[in-house]
Amino acid sequence: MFVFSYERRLRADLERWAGKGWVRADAVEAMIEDAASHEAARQGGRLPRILGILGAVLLVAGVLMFVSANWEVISRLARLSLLLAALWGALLGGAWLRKSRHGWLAEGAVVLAAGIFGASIMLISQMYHIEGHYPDALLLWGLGALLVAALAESQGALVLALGLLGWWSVAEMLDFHLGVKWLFLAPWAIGAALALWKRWRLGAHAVILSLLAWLFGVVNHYLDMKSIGAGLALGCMASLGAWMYAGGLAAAKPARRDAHGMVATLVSYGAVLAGLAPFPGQMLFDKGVPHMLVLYPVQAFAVTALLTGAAAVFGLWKGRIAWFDALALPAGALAAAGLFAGMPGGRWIMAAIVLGMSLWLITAGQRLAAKRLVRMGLALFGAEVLYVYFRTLGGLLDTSLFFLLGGALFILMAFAFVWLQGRLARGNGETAQ
Amino acid sequence: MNRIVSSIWTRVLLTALVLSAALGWIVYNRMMILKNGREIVLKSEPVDPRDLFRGHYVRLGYAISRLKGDDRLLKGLGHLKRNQSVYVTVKPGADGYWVLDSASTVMPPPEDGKVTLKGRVEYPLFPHGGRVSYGIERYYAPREKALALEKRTRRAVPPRGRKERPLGVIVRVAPNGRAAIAGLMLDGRKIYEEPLF
Repeated sequence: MFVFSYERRLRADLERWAGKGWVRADAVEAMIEDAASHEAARQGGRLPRILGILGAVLLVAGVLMFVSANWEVISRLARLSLLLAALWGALLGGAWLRKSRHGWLAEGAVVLAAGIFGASIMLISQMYHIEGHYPDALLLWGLGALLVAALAESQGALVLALGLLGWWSVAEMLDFHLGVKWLFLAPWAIGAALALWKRWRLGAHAVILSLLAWLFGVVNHYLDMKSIGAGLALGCMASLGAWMYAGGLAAAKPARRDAHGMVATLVSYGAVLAGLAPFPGQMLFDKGVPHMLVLYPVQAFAVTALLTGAAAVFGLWKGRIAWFDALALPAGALAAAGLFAGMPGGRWIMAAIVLGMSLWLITAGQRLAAKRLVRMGLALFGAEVLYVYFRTLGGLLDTSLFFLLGGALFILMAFAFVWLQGRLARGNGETAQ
Repeated sequence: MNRIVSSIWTRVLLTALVLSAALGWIVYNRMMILKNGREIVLKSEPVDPRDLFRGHYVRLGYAISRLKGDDRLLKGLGHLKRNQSVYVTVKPGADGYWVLDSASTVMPPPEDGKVTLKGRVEYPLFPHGGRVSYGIERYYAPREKALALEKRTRRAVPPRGRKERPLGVIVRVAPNGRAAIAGLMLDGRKIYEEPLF
């Protein structure tokens, strides 16, 4: 929801209710004051969290610089002992802090430990002049951070672990072309289970984003190989998106048409995933992938259309969504499936569909007051417009001009965003009056 | 409550032990190569000057980094692929630096007086051979030392009339072909020896 000032909104609501005689007029000020002090405490509670994490980051950097700057002065044994002492100190310190109920300091210490583990890997490589295959170090670090996340129950370490593992899989697939890294899915599943079990919100975002990074690597790998897997991976993306969309709708509360919390996360990620799937599909045309492969995305999009269609019917029947939202995704998926069949102008019609879907996301986000949907819609819109620019003008225009256009586009988008935000805020204000 | 607290301690201790063991394993592996590996000396060759000094390390190149030219030796390799493993056998040369003897895609049986290094193909070359790295291409040193070493490797090909003063890299090689830098040599003298610890 676009809530710029909870206090301001509460005041408007309370004064209206006081005017209708539902709330005692003399209680209004006291209620607002109470809410404001609670809000201040909530915001104040965030500060130590942020400071704790920032402190951990600074400490890792400090340890790294100290050890690397003094390496000739300090003997190898002393350096190793220092690193291990820092690792053990951070972990045991984290456990002690948790025991003495300093939750966020404990979290900072544990994230610090995961960071020190990575710093130690790099510094040992330096000490022994190891020039290895760099993704190996990322994998080891990521697995170590995952262990820390699981055993010391740290959300920060989980986010770090998933980030590192995603980076590792993408580096192996895109930088070294070492084939699809299926191994990624094992630690990812552990991380996902951990985030679900602990109900970690930030962790859940990291789970979804790291999977997207992996899928991006897979699709790219198969497109490079001109293999049938590209279609399958695209299909997976589309149907995963559809499942998330459908699951989000199924979990939404009846009669409440504003998306919020985990439901909003699921619906918006799902919508974007399904929306993004035709995007690499356009690249099939560019990379000259054999026509046969197009069949898989067609089937995948047809399945997606069926799934989202079923979810839409369910949502309409239960009164959970509006009819135009119910129509948009299945219609988009169905059209994408049809167009994938290889019409000569397919690429451009596809671009129009992606643009249309992004606009729908923006308007849906506006209607549902879900700013995440608006942002994702804007991002999708920008990416698609840049792609179209690249395809049409890339050959004629200078690179700098391309970037100038891109820059101007982003500034326009920023203005559009501010304008939309203003409209939404005014909309909220109007309904409040 | 007590049980939960103690279980946090147990879990954190277990985490610390596993992470320390992982770090210890890297160190132990290197130590074993340095301690028990067969010693060879490779002549460091000048590499692309733009790539010589990046951060606090010196980029080292060797004759065996570029497997090309000697068709007789390399024909058996066939077409190499990126990231493929190659086994390169070296033997002592006339000037004390070890030189290429043979290359293979499988580990050859050990031979007296020869040492085999395991390398990874960075990119293949046409028609056969390739650019190979052995994990001994970086020498980390403080800034001043790195700059001095960089100048030295660049001067490995001397101006006309000057005597060649190449930088020798002492490498120890484990039986499985994994190599580690053990020290540096200049004019046949050891100028730096890597400590085990």
